Amino acid sequence: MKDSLLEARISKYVRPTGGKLGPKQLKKIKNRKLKGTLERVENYSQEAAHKAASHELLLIEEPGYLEAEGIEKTFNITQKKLKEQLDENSAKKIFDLKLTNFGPYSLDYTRNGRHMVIGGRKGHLITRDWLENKPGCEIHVKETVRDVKWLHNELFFAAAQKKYVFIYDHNGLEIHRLKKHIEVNKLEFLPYHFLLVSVGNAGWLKYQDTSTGKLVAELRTKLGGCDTMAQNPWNAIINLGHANGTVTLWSPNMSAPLVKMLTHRGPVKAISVDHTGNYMATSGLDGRLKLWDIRTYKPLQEYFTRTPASSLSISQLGLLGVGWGPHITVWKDAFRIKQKSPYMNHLQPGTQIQDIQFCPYEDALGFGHSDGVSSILIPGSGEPNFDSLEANPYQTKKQRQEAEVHSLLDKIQPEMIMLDPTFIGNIDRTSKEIQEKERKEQEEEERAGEGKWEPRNKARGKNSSLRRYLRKKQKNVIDERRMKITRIEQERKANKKRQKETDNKPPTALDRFTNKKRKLF
Amino acid sequence: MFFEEIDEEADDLIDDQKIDDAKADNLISFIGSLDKKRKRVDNDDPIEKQKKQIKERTEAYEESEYNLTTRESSTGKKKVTFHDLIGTVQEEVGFSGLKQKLASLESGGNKGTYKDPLPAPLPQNIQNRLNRQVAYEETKKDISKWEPIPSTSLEKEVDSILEKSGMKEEDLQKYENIQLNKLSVDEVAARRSELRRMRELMYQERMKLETARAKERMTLKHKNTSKWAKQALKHGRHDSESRQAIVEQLNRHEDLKRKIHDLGSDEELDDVSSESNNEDDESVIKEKAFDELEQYQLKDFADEEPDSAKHIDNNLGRMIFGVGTKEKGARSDDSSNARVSFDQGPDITTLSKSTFEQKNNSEASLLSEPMSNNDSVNQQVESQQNDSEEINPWLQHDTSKLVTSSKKVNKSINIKNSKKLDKLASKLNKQKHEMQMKVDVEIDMNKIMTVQVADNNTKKEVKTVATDNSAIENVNIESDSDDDANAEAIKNFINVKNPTAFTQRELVARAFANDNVVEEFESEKQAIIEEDMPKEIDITLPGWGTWGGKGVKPSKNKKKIIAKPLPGEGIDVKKRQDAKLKHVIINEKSIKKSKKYLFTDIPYPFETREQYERSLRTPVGKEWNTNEVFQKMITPRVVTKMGVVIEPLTAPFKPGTEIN
Repeated sequence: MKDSLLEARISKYVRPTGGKLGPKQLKKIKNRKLKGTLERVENYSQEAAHKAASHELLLIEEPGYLEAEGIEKTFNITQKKLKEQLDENSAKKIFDLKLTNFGPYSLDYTRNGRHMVIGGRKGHLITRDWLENKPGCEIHVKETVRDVKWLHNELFFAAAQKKYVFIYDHNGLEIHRLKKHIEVNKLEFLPYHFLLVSVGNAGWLKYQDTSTGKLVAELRTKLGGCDTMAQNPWNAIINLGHANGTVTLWSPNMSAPLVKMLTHRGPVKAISVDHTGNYMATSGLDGRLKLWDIRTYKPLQEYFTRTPASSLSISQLGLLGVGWGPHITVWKDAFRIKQKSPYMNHLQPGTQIQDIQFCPYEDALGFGHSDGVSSILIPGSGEPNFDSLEANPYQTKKQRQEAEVHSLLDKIQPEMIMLDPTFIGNIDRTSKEIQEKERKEQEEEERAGEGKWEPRNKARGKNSSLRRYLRKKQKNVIDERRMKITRIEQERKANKKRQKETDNKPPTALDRFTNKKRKLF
Repeated sequence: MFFEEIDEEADDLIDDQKIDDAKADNLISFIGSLDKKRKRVDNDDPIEKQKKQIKERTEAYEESEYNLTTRESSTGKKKVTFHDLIGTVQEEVGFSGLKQKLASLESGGNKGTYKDPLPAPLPQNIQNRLNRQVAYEETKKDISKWEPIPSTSLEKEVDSILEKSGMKEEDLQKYENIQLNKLSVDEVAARRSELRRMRELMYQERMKLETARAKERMTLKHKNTSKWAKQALKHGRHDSESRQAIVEQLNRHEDLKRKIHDLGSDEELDDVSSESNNEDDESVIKEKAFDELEQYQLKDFADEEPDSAKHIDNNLGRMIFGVGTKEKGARSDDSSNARVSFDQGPDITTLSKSTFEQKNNSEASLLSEPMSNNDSVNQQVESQQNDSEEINPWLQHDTSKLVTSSKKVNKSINIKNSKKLDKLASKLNKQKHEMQMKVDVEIDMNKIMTVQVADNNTKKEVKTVATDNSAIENVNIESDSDDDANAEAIKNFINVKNPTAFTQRELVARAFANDNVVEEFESEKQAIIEEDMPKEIDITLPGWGTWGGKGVKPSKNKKKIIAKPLPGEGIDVKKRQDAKLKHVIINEKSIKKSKKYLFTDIPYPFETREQYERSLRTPVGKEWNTNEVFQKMITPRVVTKMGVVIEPLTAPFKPGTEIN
């Protein structure tokens, strides 16, 4: 019994690969060294899978779902009813922040689910340790805020404002204004690549490296303004939803979309991708909610929404949250089979849902709406066992600092963003002829670049620190350094003058014994 | 001259002075009088004056214990009259008008506008009752005028015929009288007894008929609206007996329908449809059928008429004819009923027709047409059931009749060619109808609208019927497991089977119908496919290798230099990743930037790509492995302890030594 369970678990950890390499195949290999290598590698991978499976014992937490008895239905259980049954700590996760003046709000959680940033459309930004209810910062930027996003940890967040994207620190201090990101509607952050991605009214998709500050890629979608974006957490591909009903998949390395899918008859309103990168949910103004398998690009299920869903979110354990009008509906197992009834329902009366987000590692769903921000409890939505190397909800300050350094060291280059992220180290499968052609082309390019080289008129010594200082425009400020420099400068000028005078003198016979004279020869 | 003038002036001055003197006297006397008045006032005793004032105040009126005036009793004065009040305003502007009004008031309304107050109105219900009584009388009077006048054309005709043949009530009365006068007492008695007998018989017959019909109606054996039928439909589907009963009931229903609605055979309808296949052929059919019915009934009536006349000839008497007239009346009622029922027909058919057209016009017709027709008819019938309860007892519950009529109409529209098709269609319709009967009238056909039937082919119809079946079953299942919660869930969100959702869907579909999203996408994909296809490029240099100059023709046999695509260059249509995905365009271009992460050749010692890639399968790193495995993977093959002296390699044998 136990063995079969373990077997099942092991199969989960065995990494897929092409071809077979059993004893039969190994026998054919004559090179003994290769044979040995392959055997060793195979053993390692088997052992790794086995060990990983046996270490599941350490995952002591199990996800729990709402279960209905008899004629009860889980979707009839309201948050109020649920709250009565909960312990104090969990009950705290159900709350309403009434912020009627600056809504509607969009929100984001940090990767460990500990912190929350909310941005009101009319310029209200709040960060908060929402689990401990510790305030972070609260600022009014006094201009439109369209989206907010945490960067790699709770110390920085980005806000897409009226014209530019700004980065604030945890005190609400503006530390960057990203002038290249104009009229941005949606933001995403790729944590392993340290890339802040934005898309806006102009329809440009821009990738900015937040560790180096470099703008990695600016891609023109050619599909008009865009306000729907989601990242695929598995391969860091950005999915954009467009007004013509298409969803495009982007990598910063390609000027055209990698994949273009026609998903809806009307504009796409919301996209969400599950964290395994297998499934995608889209909703369109044509009143449809579609679920896709994005490995095969095939539709799985299709539902009709009376009101087009304004926001979608897929939880870590695969619950699908749909925000439509003032409602939130959560669907369980929606990707596996067509559901007849939802898992849970919630109504936020008199509001319009703007943005919904499942909180990572918590059974909570936060959503911003026209009257503020609310949080509801969705049992079984969050991953109960966290990996502290990945994201630790109970991180201390020191751990955070460590994690930051580690993540920076482990940063992945943007060139590695591909539909299949396991491509690295593989063999290029294009034909030799084409490879040769490409190599030649590249060489030619380089040569062409060489030919164009022109010697620059280098003004040597122009950029010494002293000169640069002297060049400074602000000359009215007189401080100690300035005075010193002016003195030096004067001395230098005097020296030069003196030298000129001596230079003008006709050489004498004794000049040969001085250094200067020697230079003359 | 000058002095004279001065003198004159002096005289004038003197005269003036005289006048002034007189004025001054007047003024003095006036002032004096003023002085006197003041003196009089001054002479009054202040204390006395105070008393007087107090007295005046208390004398305003005597206070009673209820603080009401009792002036009349105390002072002997009467009430304040208008004249008392009006005396003070005599100098005011609008006084004369006021006076007039006053006069009219006083005279008690005889002269002017003022009248006695109206009596209190009657209670509403009594007032209404009175109104009704009066109105009833009035309308009775009005309506009684029209009573003897025949209203329908049939009645008119009958009336005229009666008049011609002298069989009007009055004429008959006269005739009877004459006859009676001629007869003897015995004969009269015999005739009366015979009449009585006849009347009795008639009555019995009628009663029999009526009881039969009442029974039929009460049992409702032909309908599936009875409790029994519903139960049977719900639970007894698997029970052979109840199924038998249902079938029987349906047959009965069919029979009855045929009886009531014997419009003639299908062939006639077909003829009609073949004759006129235009838009209003339904109405034409209706008209014809209606005319026919009328004619038939007239004929029937005419057939009967001589009989009654014969009766009269045989001195069967007035009563028989009286019965006849009654019958006639009943029949005319029937006919009018029939008319009513048919009058409703065109409405329905036009409705169905309109939906029909709509469906036909819309490219993305999701429905098979007859289904839509029946559906709309059903809906219509449902609504009509409520409206037309009093009109026709048969129509009241008989939805199927209308269904069949419309069915026939549908048939006439859809299929005009062969009888075979006709039969097939009618069979199908019947099946469908049975399905409807079996389930419930409440089934919403919208629920099966996802079935796409582009063509109105009979084959496809068969298909739809089949899908009908399944859909109905589904519906049944649903209705079985129907509870509040489920209903709410369906209401709450997104269900294909929600009729409101359908309408919404349709609306949305229409809203986005004009964006040629799909077409654009397809054309884009086509363009990309063509661009990615392996291409042969003609790189022949024009004029190269040929003679130039005037009159030189380029030779036809000249070889063209064509650059063939490199192996692996370009992608064939069939080999594309998105070849089978209509809604997807996959970019097949290689990403140059990521080339640096790829190997161009298989690294040593691997022989094949699979072997190599297999070795890469398991990542080395503690993020992906347990610590144990990670340590094992990174442990070097040879481990040396710190501080241990590593000897240089010694050769297993030394060549020199061996020689030695």
